[in-house]
Amino acid sequence: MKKIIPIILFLMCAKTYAGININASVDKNRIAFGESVSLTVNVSGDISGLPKPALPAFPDFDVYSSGTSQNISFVNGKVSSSITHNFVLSPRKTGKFTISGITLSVGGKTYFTTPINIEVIPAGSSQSVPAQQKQSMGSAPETDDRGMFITAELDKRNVYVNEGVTYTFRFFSSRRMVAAPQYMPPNFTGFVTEDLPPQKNYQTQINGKVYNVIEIRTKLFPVTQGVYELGYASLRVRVQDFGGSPFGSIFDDDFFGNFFGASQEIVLKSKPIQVKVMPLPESAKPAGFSGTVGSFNVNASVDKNTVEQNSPVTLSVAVSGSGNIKSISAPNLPDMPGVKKYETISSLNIAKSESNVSGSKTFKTVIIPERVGVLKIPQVEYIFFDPGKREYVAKKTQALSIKVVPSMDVISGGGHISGKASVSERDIRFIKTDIGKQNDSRLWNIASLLLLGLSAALLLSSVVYRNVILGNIKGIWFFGKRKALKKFLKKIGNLNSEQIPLKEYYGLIFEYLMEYLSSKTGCQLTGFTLNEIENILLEKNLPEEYVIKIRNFLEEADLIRFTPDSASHGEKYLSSNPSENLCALIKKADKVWKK
Amino acid sequence: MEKIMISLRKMFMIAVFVFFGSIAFADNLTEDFDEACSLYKNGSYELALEKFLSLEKMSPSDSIYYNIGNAYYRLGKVGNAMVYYARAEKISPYDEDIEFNIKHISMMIDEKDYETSNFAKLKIHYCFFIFALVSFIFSLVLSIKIARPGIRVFWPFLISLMLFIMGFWIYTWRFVRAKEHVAVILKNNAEVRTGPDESFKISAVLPEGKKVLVIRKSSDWIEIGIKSLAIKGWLPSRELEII
Repeated sequence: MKKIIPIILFLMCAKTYAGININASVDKNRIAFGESVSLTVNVSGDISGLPKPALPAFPDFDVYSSGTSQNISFVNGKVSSSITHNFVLSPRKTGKFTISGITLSVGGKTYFTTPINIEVIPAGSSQSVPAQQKQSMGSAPETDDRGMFITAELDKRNVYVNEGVTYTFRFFSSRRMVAAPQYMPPNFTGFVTEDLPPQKNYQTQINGKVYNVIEIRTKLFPVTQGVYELGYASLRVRVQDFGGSPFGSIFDDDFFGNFFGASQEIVLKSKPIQVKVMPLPESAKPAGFSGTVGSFNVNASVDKNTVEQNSPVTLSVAVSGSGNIKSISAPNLPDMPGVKKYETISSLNIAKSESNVSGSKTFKTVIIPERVGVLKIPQVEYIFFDPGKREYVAKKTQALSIKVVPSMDVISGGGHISGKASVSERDIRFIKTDIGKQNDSRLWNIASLLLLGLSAALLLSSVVYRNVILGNIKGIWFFGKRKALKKFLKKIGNLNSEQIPLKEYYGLIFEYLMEYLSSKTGCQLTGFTLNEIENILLEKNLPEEYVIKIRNFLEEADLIRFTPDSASHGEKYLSSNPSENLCALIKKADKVWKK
Repeated sequence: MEKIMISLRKMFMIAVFVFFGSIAFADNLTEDFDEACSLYKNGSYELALEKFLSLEKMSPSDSIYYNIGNAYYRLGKVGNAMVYYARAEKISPYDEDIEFNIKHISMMIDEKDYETSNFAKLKIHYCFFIFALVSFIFSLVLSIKIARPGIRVFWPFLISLMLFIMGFWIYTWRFVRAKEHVAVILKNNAEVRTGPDESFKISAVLPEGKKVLVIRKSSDWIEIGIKSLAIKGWLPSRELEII
């Protein structure tokens, strides 16, 4: 090991550019379309670390790298190395092409390869060279002298739109492969595809030779009418290559094979296939047909046979059979009066057999019976085109009936309904189609103000009723008692004893006093006896001394007014200025009353 | 007499004109509304929105507000949608569809503060009416007592007094709430700043459609608050709309 490291370092450091050589070659110059050609670019020189050659663009070929191999030798102390780069070229079209411009840049110098001519002739041409890989379209495969070939075929060449057709790809090989082959399906544009797994592996004998066969099937459903060409399918295979080994079969085992990396990549291509897609017959096409093609049965069911009013029931309509299950359209549910329908949700169940796609598509619709009784769900008709019979077929489900019983819950405002049926709602609710109502606050405010006004009026009228209608002047007294004294003093002040007869003078004083007292007490005292007036005044918290003085004055005034000889007594009393005395008394009494 | 007849005739003519005019206006309104609904159904949300907005100017209603909200939602303007749902809810606080759509948007923006109790949604004029009604009942009992002192109305008085106090409390509570202005954020990731200027620091980022409380206004900035998140800050007034 210690000896090897300096050698490697030496090799890496060696930078002499003398004797660089680059050349390119192909294994054949004439191929059929669909075949491939191996391009070998060899770079050699007396340096180590040879750079990789630069390939030009190949617009007419698909280019795959199939590995490199390197050889280093020491002769008389000189290093010489060579690297071989292998490529597989797969033509994109027929014609004559020249491969040139493979370059190598070393130490600022560029090396070129000589041009190589390749002719690609149409596939199946009689001029084609004996191909090392061939394609097959028919059921009987052709053998290949490389020990491997591929075939591709369709079970039908004329199909209706949406009718299934099986594409079968087979890989025949009698050789040992280094790695798993890589399958590239053709371009299926215009078709809906369904893989038909599993991949089948078996052995078959052709012309006395045993082949291992890998079979891949794909179901195709054409989308629109027309003539379609399915392009070529390709397969990249890496196989062991010991054809030129001078050591014989002792190196034909895995150990030596892997050690030396002697393998070869082969690209196999199938021929393109044409298929004609016919439109569905327009004649006798039923009105309810929605494009489903295949052979189907239709069945309907409900998850409950008895349900409460306004509770959800799931109506399932299953369309099962063989055909393009994914493209089965939803059935048209019949109108059911008194039933609220929600959006239909579908679910798929697909089963794939060796050459067929079958299964079912179930359409679930939540319905809500709004009426109590027996809800009859009519037959659901489903129309499809059966390509086997070449006609439209209408199948019907059985009619169903559900017993709708009254709801046990109190339904308010639809909340119950939405609570049970809104499980899958993830969107806003739909717009309102009635113009709705405007802000009604003004009306409510007017009504409220009216009620408040009415309340005030009610209170006021009750007070008025009590005071006026029932003769109770408490209310008036409340407002009038504050002005009672002022009013009394003003009236007394206007009295002139000299101008008015004596009895009348005292009558007026008596009247003014009674008015004052009535105002202050809140009771109409006219008509009450002196004892009653005395009691009322005492009840109204007038001090007793004032009550007595007022009573005395009232007695005196009564005496003068109603006794025959009151004149002398009155005059005598008048000389003592009764109005002034009375005013003074009342002023004092009023002050005390206020307290 | 002749003058009175002329006056009456004039009044009758005006009444007839107003009556038929209002009928014609209502017909036009319904036609425009149906047209807007058709546009919405056909997926022409922008045209439908334009139509609904013109109807809103003429005669705003809960359905028009609701449909404007839907159109805005379809056009991806969640904030505007929320504004109009809130306006529709003001007119019809117990409408199930409006409530559903508000909840839908609230869930979209992870909003948990939306009002759910029916009591909280009580309109202020309903509260005022309740207050007026209990006041009337109370004054009725009081009036009976005043007018007929002999009649015993102790229990009716007590009950009506309690009702009156309760009605007064409800109205006062709702009145205070009505004074609070609520706004909706119109811009997604709206940046709430600590002061009314771009130079202030960002204190919170709010999603479009979020409801906030308006505290005060200052030129082009509005101070907002969210009690539940203890957020208080300023937003440019163009980034929110008061309901």
